Amino acid sequence: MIEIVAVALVVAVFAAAVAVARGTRSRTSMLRALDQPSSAPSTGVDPSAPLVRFLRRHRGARLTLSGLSVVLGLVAAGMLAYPFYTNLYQSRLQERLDRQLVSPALQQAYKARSVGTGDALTRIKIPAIGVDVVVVEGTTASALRAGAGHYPQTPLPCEAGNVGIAGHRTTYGKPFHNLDLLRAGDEIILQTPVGTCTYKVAKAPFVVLPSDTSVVAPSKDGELTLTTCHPKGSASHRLVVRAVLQGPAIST
Amino acid sequence: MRNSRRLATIGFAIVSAGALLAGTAGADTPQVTAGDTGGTAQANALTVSIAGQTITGSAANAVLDLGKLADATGTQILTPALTSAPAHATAKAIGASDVQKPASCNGSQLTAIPGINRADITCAQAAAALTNEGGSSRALGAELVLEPSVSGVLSTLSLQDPAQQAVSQVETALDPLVTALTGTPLKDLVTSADQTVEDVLSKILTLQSTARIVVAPALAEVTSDATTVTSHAHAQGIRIELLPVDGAGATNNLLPNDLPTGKPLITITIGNAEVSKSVSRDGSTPAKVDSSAAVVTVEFGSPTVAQALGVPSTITVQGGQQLCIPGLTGTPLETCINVASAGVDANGNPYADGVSIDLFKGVNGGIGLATGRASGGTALAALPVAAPAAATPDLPRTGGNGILPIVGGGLLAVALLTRRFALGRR
Repeated sequence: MIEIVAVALVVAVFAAAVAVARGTRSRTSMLRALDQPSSAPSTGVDPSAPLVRFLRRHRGARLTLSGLSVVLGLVAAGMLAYPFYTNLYQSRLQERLDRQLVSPALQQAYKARSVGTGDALTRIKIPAIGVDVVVVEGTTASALRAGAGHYPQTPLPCEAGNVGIAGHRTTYGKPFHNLDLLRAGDEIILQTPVGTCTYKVAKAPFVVLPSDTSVVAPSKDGELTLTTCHPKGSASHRLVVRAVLQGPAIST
Repeated sequence: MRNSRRLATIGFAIVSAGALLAGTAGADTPQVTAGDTGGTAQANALTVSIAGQTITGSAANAVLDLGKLADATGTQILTPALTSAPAHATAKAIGASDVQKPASCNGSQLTAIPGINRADITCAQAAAALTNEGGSSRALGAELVLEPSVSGVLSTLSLQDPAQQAVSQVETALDPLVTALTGTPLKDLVTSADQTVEDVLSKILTLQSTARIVVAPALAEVTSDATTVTSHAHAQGIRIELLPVDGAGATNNLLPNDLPTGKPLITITIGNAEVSKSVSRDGSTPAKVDSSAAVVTVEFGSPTVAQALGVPSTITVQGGQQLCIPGLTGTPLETCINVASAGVDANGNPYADGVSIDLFKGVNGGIGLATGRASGGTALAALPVAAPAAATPDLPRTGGNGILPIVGGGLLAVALLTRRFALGRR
């Protein structure tokens, strides 16, 4: 939804820019006018007048400024388009991970506990907030481009202990965008190459500092900890969801 | 003036759009040193994996980027469960120096981790200095004694299948070993009161603990004088004692009394994994590279035990070899040792992979030990530097900086304004 609003706003911005441009004279007539003194001086004091006069006299400066404006425009467009690009990248990556997750080679690697960083590890489904993505092994920057990654120092999904998964709140598919909407009792399903298990959210999501790695500390009981950045668009804190394994743990 | 108002409106709209757009992504980024001369060294002495939980016992990392940075990090107590910072020293200007040598470091928390009964720890240290001639960075990881709680896991292995009231696979697997060691079939040792493998072990032996791991610290150092840069990484020796008995008579007369008092049934000793590389700063002499892989010895506390298992009293495992201790294969106590190799990688930097040991593989995945990884390099180009494995500084970033789209919006407004000036419009 936010993308639609954002796209609409960007379109509106460009429409406004076009409207401004149409309300002025053509480039040719403008350049001609630059060579002549203004016949109708403005009644107010325009602070940009010295700059305009300078540009009228120096064609090279005008060209330089023109080039600079194009470069700035391209950089700005890149910055504005970046979130959309990451979502597209993640979507294509997920298609590859979908295939990898069901491959015999991955099943073998999973059983040998040797899934490489960035490779598919499990599928996470959270029906309450519409999450259905493949989680990769590792939480490095490149691994997390898949959307969600498994903390490598924690047990494999569905095993006994505290299983940790980090996911993007914004960009790269933002699978954990609505993690704050989870409530106690909501189901989280993990589908691994060797079995499926269900966790239930134990309590409402809570916020910690990024340095508080105790949330992924080992535990005896079967637990699942989801982490993501908080608030949306910021990395100042982390949002944490803690869930409890329903039924027996799966031994790999 | 009217156009200025229009531009202001456009700018406001762009900024608003930027604010609504999602922020950029970021995550933990690998540290990279960049310098014309310098070196790196890294050593990991021990990584323990117990039932899926991983703890790095001792690790050290050193970086020297001449004239710019000397940085050393020695791990204290490395577990993702704890937030205790490693010993970290850094110097960023010529003449600067830093020494971190804490008198005490947190250690009691380690015993709160499932799977660890006891942990004695000597703190890590780090020192860094930059001088006109060169500099040094040196890190020494924590030294520790660990006692994993294997017995807790052994107590979960039932001797009988409760559903079928029949002899379980566990008992079938253990019987040849117990018979060979004690001369008595397992079924004659077991009564109805014995439910688990731990019960049987307790009958045969009075144990101090089921296993004990003694780890010497990992060392990483890079030094330089006016002529030479030398990097040195050293994952020092580790001793693993399996089934250390509790004094005289601890074999309960079921084993031959040739087991010295207090000695473990099996001792696995891992030598050093060590690498070094020296480079002359003016390139006048070729680089000197040394590397050696850890050599492993497996020693049986009693000749009778070794005889029962059908092996010599002492076995040496060389680089590139794998050994599964005979007699234990197929039992819950199955233990295998892999000794990797040492050499020089494609960049000319030495490495020495130590040893991976799977203890008691049949017990819920058992205990995995990865030891003695050392790598080092002297770089005349930039070298990537990996932080010590368990120095997990923060939870990973998954949201990023939301200001980028706003900056983008602002830049777009500036671009439009600049364009108008370039065209001579006010």
